[in-house]
Amino acid sequence: MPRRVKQRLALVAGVVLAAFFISFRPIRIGHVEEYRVELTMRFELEEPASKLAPKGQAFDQAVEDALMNAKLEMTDAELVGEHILVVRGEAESKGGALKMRERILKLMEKKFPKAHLIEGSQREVGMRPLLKLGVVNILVPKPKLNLGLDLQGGARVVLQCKRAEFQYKLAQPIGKEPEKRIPVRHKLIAALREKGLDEFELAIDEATGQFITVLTQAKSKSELNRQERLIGAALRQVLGDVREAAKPKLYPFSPDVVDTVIEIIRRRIDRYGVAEAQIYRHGEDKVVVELPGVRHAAEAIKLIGRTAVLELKLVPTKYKVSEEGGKTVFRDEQGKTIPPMQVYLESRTVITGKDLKPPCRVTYDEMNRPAVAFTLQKASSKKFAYETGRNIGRHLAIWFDRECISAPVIRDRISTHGIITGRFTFEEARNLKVLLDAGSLPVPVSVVWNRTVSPTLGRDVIHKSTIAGVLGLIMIVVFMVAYYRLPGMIACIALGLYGLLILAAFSAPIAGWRPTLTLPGVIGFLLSLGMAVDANIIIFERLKEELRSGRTLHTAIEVAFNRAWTAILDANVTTLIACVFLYNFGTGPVKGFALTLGIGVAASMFSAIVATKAMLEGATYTSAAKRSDLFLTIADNPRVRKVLRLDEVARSKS
Amino acid sequence: MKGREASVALRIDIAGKSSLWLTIGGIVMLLGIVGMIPPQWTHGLTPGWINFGLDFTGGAEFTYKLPGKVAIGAAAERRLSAKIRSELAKAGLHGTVIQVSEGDVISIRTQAKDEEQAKEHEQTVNRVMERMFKGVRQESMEMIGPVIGRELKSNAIKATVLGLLGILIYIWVRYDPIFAIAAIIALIHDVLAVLAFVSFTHIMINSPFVAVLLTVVGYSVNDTVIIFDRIRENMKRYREWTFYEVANLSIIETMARCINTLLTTEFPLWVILLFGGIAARDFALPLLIGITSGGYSSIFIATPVVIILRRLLGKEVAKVVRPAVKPSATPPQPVQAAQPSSTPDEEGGETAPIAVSTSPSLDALLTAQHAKRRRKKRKKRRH
Repeated sequence: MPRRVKQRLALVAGVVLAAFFISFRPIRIGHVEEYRVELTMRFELEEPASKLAPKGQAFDQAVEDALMNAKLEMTDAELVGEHILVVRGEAESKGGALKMRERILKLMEKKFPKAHLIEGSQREVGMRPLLKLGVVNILVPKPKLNLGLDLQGGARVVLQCKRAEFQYKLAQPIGKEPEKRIPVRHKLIAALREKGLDEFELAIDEATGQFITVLTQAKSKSELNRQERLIGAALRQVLGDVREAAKPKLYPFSPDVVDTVIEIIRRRIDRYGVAEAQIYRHGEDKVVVELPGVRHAAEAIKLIGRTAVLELKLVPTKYKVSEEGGKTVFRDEQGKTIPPMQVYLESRTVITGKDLKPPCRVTYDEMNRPAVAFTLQKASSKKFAYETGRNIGRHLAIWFDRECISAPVIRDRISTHGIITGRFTFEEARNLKVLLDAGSLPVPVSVVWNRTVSPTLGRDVIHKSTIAGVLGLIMIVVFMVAYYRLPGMIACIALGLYGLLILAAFSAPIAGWRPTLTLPGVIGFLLSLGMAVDANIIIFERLKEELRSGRTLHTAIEVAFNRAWTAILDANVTTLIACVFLYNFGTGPVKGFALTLGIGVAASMFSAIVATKAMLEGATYTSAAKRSDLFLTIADNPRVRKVLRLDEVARSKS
Repeated sequence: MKGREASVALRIDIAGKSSLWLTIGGIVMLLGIVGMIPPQWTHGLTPGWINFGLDFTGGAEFTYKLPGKVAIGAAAERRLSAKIRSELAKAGLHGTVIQVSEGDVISIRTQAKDEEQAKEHEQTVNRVMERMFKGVRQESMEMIGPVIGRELKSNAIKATVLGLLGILIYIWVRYDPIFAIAAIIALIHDVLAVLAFVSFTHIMINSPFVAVLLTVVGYSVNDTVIIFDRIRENMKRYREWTFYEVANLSIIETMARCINTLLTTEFPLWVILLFGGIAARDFALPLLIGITSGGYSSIFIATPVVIILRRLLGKEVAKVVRPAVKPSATPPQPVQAAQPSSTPDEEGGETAPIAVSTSPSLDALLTAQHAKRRRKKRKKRRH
């Protein structure tokens, strides 16, 4: 075998090894995280956690104590909202995790029968080296792919930053019943659309149905004025007497604002506890939040999308404050109820959430109800002390996202420490703490795209595409070997290399970013398997012709590859062009498809041309070369020609 | 007809039936155009535009899985979706689009305009589904606001137009105008074939459809390029042939590889159709149709169009006087200027078995090898 051929074979072998090491990472240098299995179990509670909790203790605390008593170490329990309890545990092996799961289930059944398991998952973390040589760890080869939401389940939310806000007050309240509000809302939306306004959000306040808020994407003062006229006209058309409740507000907008939104949402999610969440900017004013594996996404989305503005405002003296049926009610001197929104708009702000110094703390008020304690920043505390000192005896209303939480009376001068009371449950108090600590969003956001997929659906898809992939591969291999014989077999080996290259491309993090595999991506991959052998078919057909024209095996191979090369290049460039545009303009799954197909085309150039050629040349130096019929297609085999009577057919036609 | 004898020599005359191939292609293209006509223009005679999915229309979609298969066959699925639709209307939710697939997967699309409305609809739909089917499980929900819907639509159009443009420019640069025009016509044929298919079958189209279109176009060009490449090569080799003959020879020479590449590309798609589940199927089926059409168009449309265009432009090389001689392994000798056309040479046709039968040297080689093996076997038997 000449040196040249040997070198080429060595190159191919090198690429195979490199691809193997990249995709399976069997050797890691340095410290590796210790192997353990993380167990996550989500329980749904029949009744709100605050009701189920024993006296004087939070529900999750009670569960944790029970776990400790049962000698289930390395576990903890945490409430997510009012109805979901998450129990986490760690075990050293899969078997251990399974045993732990059984024990937790039994314990929960016995002690907390109102909690039902809705979801349990296990995740392996860290590695268990087969062999450890100093800093070199040798591991069991295992690929790690980044699966898209359609394959592993979870939620994907796109939020849009709003730019302008309009507020209106109706002369006649619609009422607080949803049956009355919903049709009016639909009518208003239709009217606004008819007037030519798009990209807006309309909300009617839930307390009285008297205030209407419209959020839009106005970019300039003049656009704001135009929209103001337009919205006013539309509202009057539907509801008659409508007044502006506040001046239209244009939020300052810049790329920094979106970055701040991303940062705050990231903090909220981290505190909420979703592993591997991804948050990134999309377009000019949108933010994408991906929460893989989350089943009950609605609650997380509610937390993410809140503006979370805390405002402490002095209630004007003309209003009387009372607590009725667990709600703060404002009345004027004649005893008429005043909508909270009106009070909000008329009262003066003392401090806001920006004046707080995180972190806040969950405590209890004098009536032993959960509350949130806060500390003020130095500059703000002076102002707060001055205001509270001057207004002892007046009501200080606490507004969270313009909703009145409570309106306690100022009893004393307060400087740095204060507590926010409201009829909270423990969980509500903690959610408030999370939101206050993470900070408020600089602009309101609205959900413009929300996709939630259950993990079972994803598993089903993976299962089905695996079957399809294996069967498709078998069909290709059988066809190639039966038709093209020895070169066909070599093409199939090259196809294996191709698969390895794709796997490497999908498991290698490029600058911290790893390509995501989606369902169209999987189809793109399966399709690219077929297309990868296309190049081989073109070459082998050419090889057959060159052999027929009487060339020797070596020159025939050389000529076949050289001649087929331009055609293959042309063909692949067009596919690559398509991929570039698809990747640029596609979203999510389409991007995934473009990526796999594009990577596939590039990888197939290597596997079908370089690798196949090296192996084919190598084969010519083995004993197989003596049987040149092995290098021809099945249609050239004299026996096949005889059985199918190909020559006779050819002769009779002439 | 000019060049008849060379075709006789080739025994198979594909280019000669150009009008048949082009008629078939023309019908497919016409169906694609008819499919695009809105039904209100034709009093419901046309199938009506494309069945746009959630990505483009906006709204909310909820998918449910039933514990067992309840509707088997298209008729039962239609009945079931009609029933669900009327139940939803009774619950106050009108204008829903319902799709039942695989007997146990139900997807319900509503016209929710924002998150709040989507939540209202989700509650209603959940209530109705739980009442109708015991043990039903919600698999997914998706809400697409009008802003995103519009963005997806404009991106889809941008990707399709720019992608096509990019491919066209590439073809234009790499090939002379006649070839480029033919390749483009073939490509339009494939796009229209896919559109005809989706409009007549009412398959729902979401943003991955753009990927289908561009992949089909990429593949079709891919296939066309193989034939054109061969034509260019053969034009250099058989300078005294008419273009018609060269084209026919090139088609026949590349036929095996066109069919085989088509087969290997389609193998995975067939399997996806059989085992891939509904989500994959909506993606793979138009892809399969488009790729088949791409295979057809490169052989039966692109090449005939080139022949016709060249004939119209008078770019035909003069007719064969002497039938083509089998070229030797050495590069083709430069051919003298073509002689003025004369009457076809009868016996010329029979002596040029170029494409179909194998060359004597190889036949001899193979026969010799077989003879050798047979001798060996006989020897063994004797021992």
